[in-house]
Amino acid sequence: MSNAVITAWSAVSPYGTGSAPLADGLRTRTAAPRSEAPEEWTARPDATARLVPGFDVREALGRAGTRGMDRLTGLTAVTVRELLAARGAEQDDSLGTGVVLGTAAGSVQGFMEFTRASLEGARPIDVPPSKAPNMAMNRAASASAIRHALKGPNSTVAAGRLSGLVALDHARRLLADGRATRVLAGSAEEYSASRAHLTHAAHGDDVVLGEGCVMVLLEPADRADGRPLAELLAVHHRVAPTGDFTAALTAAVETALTAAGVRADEVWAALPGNAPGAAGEQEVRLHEALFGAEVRERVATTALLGETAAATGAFQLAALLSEPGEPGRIALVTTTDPDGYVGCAVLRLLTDGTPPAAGNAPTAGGAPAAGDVPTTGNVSAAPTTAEEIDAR
Amino acid sequence: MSAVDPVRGPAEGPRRVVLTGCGALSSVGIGVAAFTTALREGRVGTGDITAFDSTGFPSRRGHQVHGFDAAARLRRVRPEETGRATQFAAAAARMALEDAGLTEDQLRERRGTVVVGTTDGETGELDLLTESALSLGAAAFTGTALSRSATGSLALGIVRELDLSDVEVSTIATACAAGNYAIGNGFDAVRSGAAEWALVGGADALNRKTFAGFARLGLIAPDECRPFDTGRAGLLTGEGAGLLLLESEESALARGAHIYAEVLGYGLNCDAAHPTAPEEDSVARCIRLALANASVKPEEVDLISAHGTGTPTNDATEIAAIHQVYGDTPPRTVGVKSMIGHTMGAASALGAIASALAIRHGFVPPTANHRETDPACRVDVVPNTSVTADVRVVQNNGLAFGGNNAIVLLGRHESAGHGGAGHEGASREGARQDTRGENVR
Repeated sequence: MSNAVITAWSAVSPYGTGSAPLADGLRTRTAAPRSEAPEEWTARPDATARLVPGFDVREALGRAGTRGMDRLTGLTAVTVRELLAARGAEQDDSLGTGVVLGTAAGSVQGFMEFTRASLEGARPIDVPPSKAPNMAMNRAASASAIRHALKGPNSTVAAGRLSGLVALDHARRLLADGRATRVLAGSAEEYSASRAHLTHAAHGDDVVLGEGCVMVLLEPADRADGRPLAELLAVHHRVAPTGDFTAALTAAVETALTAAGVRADEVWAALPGNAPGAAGEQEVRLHEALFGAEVRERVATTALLGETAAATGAFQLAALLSEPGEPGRIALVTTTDPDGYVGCAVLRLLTDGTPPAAGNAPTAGGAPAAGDVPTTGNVSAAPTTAEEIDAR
Repeated sequence: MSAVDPVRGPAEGPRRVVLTGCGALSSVGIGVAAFTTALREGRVGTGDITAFDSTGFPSRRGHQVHGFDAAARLRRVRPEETGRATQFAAAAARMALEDAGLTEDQLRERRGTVVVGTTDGETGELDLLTESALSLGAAAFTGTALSRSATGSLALGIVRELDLSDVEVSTIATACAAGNYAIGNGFDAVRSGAAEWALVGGADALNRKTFAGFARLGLIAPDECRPFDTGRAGLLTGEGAGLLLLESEESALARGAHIYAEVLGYGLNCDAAHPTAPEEDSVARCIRLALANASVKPEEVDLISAHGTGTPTNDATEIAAIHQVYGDTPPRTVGVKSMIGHTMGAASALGAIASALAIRHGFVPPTANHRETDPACRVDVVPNTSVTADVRVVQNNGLAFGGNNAIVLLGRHESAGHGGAGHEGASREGARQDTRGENVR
């Protein structure tokens, strides 16, 4: 069984749309800009966050099939569009292109607004039918598949801040077990007033929220169509006993390095996941014990993006892929979640860090034009009334 | 290293994966024994929903789990600190472990995987939060709410309940096919050797958000869920959990475990066509992927546990897809949602358990509430009364919003002592013809 390789990636981030703005921001170690929080319901009036600038779902994706679409789905669908545009349209084969998306809890704001409509409406069924497809937490992954006719396995995984690495692991396994020809894997997080309240109540008012989505295209190394940007050598994750992250994370790192066939002193860059509280503190101390300062500081910290929750692991991958250097460098990422998830991925970077704005033919930069987007999917099929919807 | 076959996976000695423990929670009972009896008797668990305030809805009917005492069933997870779906998942996992004759220590000795499928995760917690935020404002958000409402809480709850650490953990939120996704994920993990055991399945709890959505879309049946019936008028939302303990055949045989069934394989695909409506050709393609992955021919399948929601479109589309693959005389095709409702992320996990029970105990659970089979659903739905039958191979369907399809194939294991038939094609075929349309109880 050959390893999986990353052959393309894209993002929507607080720096803007596409991989280039994110790569530039990370390479120059520029903190993403903060802006006013967009929602009113129960939001603090002074709340700011690292938001995707000016992001509006229907402006970003067009009006067809986007009525009622939640922000999380919009961020994901734009990222998938950008990735496929960079990659170029291709013929789907019998197994097809899969999608594995990591999420923490779907669109919390969307769910709460739906419930609020039921509680406040004249009747409890007075909820907006155009938002009914958002009820399912697989909305972001499946809507992305619908827009681009991606007919391979389509999965949504939840593991808190580890969701990005878990998605990568699921995707890798789908390829290893011959269940997809290629898989788009990544994770996403939306800003919302509800998420801000939940996060601040759990981790303190000082936490500045970020949002966005990163997706990478994963292919089997021995059958990849695209030029590899990185080889995924190992992913390992497990659960720490309550409050004690160090031992479990140490075991995860050791297991991942062994599986990758790499010694700790061969690691060129090590990147922690900046979890709030004890999880992140113990993670940083472990990195200090295992790796020298040079190794720990080689790659931009995703703290520049704010607290990106479920999107963290995917943003860490983007940081590795964006950092200039010689091909062949070994990079290690760890992520932890205050609830107990810990994990580690080891990659061999095969890119020199040039922003892959044009996929496999790197250019000086600039996001691909929206007009190049393959729209083979059915983008006009979203139901707008109850009568048009039937269910499974 | 040999090449990977695009459909059947690694050619070099993948391990066989067997099911040795089941934990079930549903409206017809708690525990696999109660579930088995209910399926045999064709019992229907419909009642008025009281899990949330269902006042004012056009219908309050659904499938609620009654008599669930979380504090009595859970040793480590504290009910007052976790949502209902997590409690269901943890309790069902403990039941599956006990049913398999395994201890927590035995799980801790070897690396495992815990994967729970769900539609709503802990959305019920968000319902409660919404209600209190409407009166309290921002003060409603407490320090534990983020953890309690996280979707990952379901699988993590199992890990905490059983005090595990060396486990890969994920909660799969692919809506109403999520249970089969989880089973497939555990199957691959054990088959490849990435894990020595897997606790996999699905869990969901009734909640206002989803009930309101289905009701608004006019998809809730007024009285009962009647899959494949001419008069079917929708689904009934339900809740529950189904957890399955999977391990390698070698491990099960070495410890003398009773094997319910072998997981033969599965298929996954995506319609990529419509947010809510299923697509016939794509469902047929998923069936073919599952059969190929399991190395099973259509004529070897004895029973289909259908997705069978009881909505007009799902049932007609699903049966048309079955006809595409199986021709004019498909195997018996039953809808257990008639008895336990649509338990969302738990649905295909409970369907898989029902399939395993059919294999182990030699009966076909019925499609309850049945009056007249729709000509558009021309299959033997085994109306209302279970049937004694030699069931060797079962196809278990899961079809979700978003076009996410997952289909699992289970087969009798030769250790099961039903005449020594294994999952080899020839022996399955031999026993088929005497099982159709007979022995009606």
